[in-house]
Amino acid sequence: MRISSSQWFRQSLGSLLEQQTVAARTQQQLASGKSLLKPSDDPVAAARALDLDRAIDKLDQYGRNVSHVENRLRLQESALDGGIDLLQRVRELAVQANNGTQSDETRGAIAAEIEQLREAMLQQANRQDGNGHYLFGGYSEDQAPYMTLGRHALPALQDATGNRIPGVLLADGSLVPAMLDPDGLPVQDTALNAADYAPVASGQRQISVGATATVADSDPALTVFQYSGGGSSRDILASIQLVADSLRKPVVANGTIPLPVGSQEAATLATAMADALTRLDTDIGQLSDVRTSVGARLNQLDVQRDIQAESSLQLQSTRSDLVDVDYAEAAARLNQQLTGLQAAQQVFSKVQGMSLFDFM
Amino acid sequence: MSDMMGSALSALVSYQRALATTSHNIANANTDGYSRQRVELGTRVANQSGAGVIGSGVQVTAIRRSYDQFATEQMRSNTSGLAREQTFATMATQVESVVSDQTTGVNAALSRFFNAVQDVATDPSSLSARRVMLSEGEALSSRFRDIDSQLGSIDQDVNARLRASVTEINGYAQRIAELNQAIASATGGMGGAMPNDLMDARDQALLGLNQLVKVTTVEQGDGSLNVFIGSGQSLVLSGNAQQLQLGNNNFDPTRAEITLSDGGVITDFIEGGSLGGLLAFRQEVLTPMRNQVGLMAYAVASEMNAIQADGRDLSGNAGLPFFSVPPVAVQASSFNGGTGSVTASVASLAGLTGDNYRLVADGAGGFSLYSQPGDVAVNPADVGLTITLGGSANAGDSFLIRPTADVAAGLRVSLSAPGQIAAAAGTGAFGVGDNSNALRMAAIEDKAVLFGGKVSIADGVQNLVSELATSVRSAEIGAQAQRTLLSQSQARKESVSGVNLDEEAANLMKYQQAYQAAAQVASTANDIFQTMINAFGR
Repeated sequence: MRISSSQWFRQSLGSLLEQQTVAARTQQQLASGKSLLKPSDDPVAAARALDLDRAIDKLDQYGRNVSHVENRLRLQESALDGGIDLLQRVRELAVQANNGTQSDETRGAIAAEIEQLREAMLQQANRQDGNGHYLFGGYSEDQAPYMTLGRHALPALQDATGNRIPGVLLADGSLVPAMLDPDGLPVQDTALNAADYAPVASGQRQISVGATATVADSDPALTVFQYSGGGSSRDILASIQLVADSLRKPVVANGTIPLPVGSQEAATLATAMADALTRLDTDIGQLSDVRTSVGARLNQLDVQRDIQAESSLQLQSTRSDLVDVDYAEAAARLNQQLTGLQAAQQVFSKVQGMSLFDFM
Repeated sequence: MSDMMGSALSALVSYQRALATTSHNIANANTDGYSRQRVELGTRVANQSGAGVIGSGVQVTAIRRSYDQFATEQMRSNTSGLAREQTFATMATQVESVVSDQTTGVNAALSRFFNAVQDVATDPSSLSARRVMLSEGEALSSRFRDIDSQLGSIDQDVNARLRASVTEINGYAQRIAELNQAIASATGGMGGAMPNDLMDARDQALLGLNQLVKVTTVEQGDGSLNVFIGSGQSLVLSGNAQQLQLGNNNFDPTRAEITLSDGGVITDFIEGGSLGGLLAFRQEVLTPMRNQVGLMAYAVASEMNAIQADGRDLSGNAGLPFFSVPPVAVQASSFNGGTGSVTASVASLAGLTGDNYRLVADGAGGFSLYSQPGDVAVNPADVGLTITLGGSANAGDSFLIRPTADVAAGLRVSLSAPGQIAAAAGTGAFGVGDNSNALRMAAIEDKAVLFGGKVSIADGVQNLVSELATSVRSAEIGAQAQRTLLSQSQARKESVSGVNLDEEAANLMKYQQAYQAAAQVASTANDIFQTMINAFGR
């Protein structure tokens, strides 16, 4: 085919410029570390990379969620451990008090210690995390789950306006507004409509720790310190108070008639102590159960963290394959392209210098 | 002997012309659109003699340009194809860098916002987590607004480029009309000989015109060319050029339309060239992309607001809307004769498509709705809209309804305090630590709410990015193909019409030698004549 001079010039210049463009692109890839400089370089890979970015970002977020809930569960675990220790101490004291050699005076001393322990238990139940949130508060983590009425620590209730009153757990499991009877014991306050009040420490958050995995956050007091066992509903703090109250009453010999006001027969105390011990055992069992469930959740979080680390690594490497430049390959490519460019330059200057006019 | 001198002189004159043409070729070796010219030589009319016919020398029969009609037309068509794809790709790449950027695109802002929602779901009573969510909400809405305003400035840029293109096209049309006149009179004046350089200039003008817009040509008997644009609208008829103008869209005064000086709107008929590329880009990428970005913004806002309304905030009050969304944009045509007015609102998110709709009143209070683009009749409820036509509209009055076009531009966070985020469920016992509503908010991102409830917002944004990438890619591939085709047709044209300097050098030598030989003949004839004079002079 006949070729014109300007065409020849254009062609050699064009191939020179093309070589330059290609080399510049490789250089840009090397400089940025990316093989995909914009999505349209490879729409399929770009869409995939976007997917991966999102997944990696999500994993990071789930990782943060895991840390947060783990922190709270560890705190709850330690509060529960503390609670179990307290109950065990109460149980030891109850055994010690349930002994014929004890006098009213020594029993009084033991009762005083048990009341101290009940106070400590109240501290545990109303324990706060680093942000001032009540660990056992459930949804109402800004409110203490337990409040005091007289010498009793009672679960808190609130009405629709946020008005807080103490409540008492009835044997049938209902938590109703409380008042003190003439003996100073908490009973239902029938002047108030129980239906207007709801327990404060209820509700348990679910935290997303994976695309489909959720873990329950810390348990509310309603399901930790209140439980149904032995056919009736019990409150662990009330159990402890009950032991102290029994020990406080002066003891008279069995069969004393009339029974002096405010005293009890030795047999009554013995029965009460026996009941109290059974109760304390189930109380300990309850806290251990909750602790086990918290431990199981902590294990689940560990597993979740491992899964996250592994998939994050995998996603990162897939993403890297898609969008990151292979330096060795790109450097070799650039070398080759520069050689090509050099050759094109040499050819250009040689060829363009040739003309028949030189021979005229 | 006079014959001898006559032949020599005819050769001298002819080769002078041949040398002049060769110099003209050499001089124009680098002139764009120049076709090399060849001198065609023929014998002069012979003298009859008793002995037979004696030749009387040479003459120039024609000076022709080497020209291949097919290759030239091919080159024009490829030039307009390449300009279209290149313009389309350049413009779409701009949109791509706005929408798809890894750090400033929609995807990144959306991802950060939903992470902040997750943080609130994990620790709902934390004011700092709520504050972060609120400010990420602000960031998201400002991303949407910013992207829309950048797309808006690309739209402005398109208008500016349209204006420049129209001016340039008018310039070319005028020039072609003038050249038509010159060619017609030259052809007539020279008894049918072609004005080669004028023809080249006109071809070059046509090539320039094709770079701007694809045109078709029909040659007339007098050598002039008629040029047609779009679907056959005449741009140049012999010596008269029509002017293209830039008018406003009858619905949207900010949208420029191409009109002919006789008033017809030809925007939709224009194909090819950088003008065709610009219009296609506006139609296929820019407008749909603004609508789609708006759709994503609307989806996030309406889902967030719905869930907010279901929940209770930190004080236990029912949730207020998180985002404020501008109303559906409705624009009346400037041609409307009646007093009708249209209000439209979104009835269902799942029904929205991102398309615009044209409402045409029937004059009796009713109307029909047509999708834009496509012009397919649709039912308002099927496309997620509730439309009321008030006032009295004349039959044929029309309105343009753009359900999501203005959403991104007007999206704002309407909550002012972090406590107003309704993380708690709307029913049941209230507690500040209740995260059940926040969990629902965090799930919005992956909930299939778009396009008939089949696509999630996260996927929608991703589709947006990959659709855009695909259209840029296909324009780039198209441009590459057109570039190859163009270089082929260019090579074909050049192989016929291009000047080869070596060839011209050879011709120069050839004609020089011939000229010298003819001069020698003349000198010999003179010698013979002198010999004769001397013979008789004594």
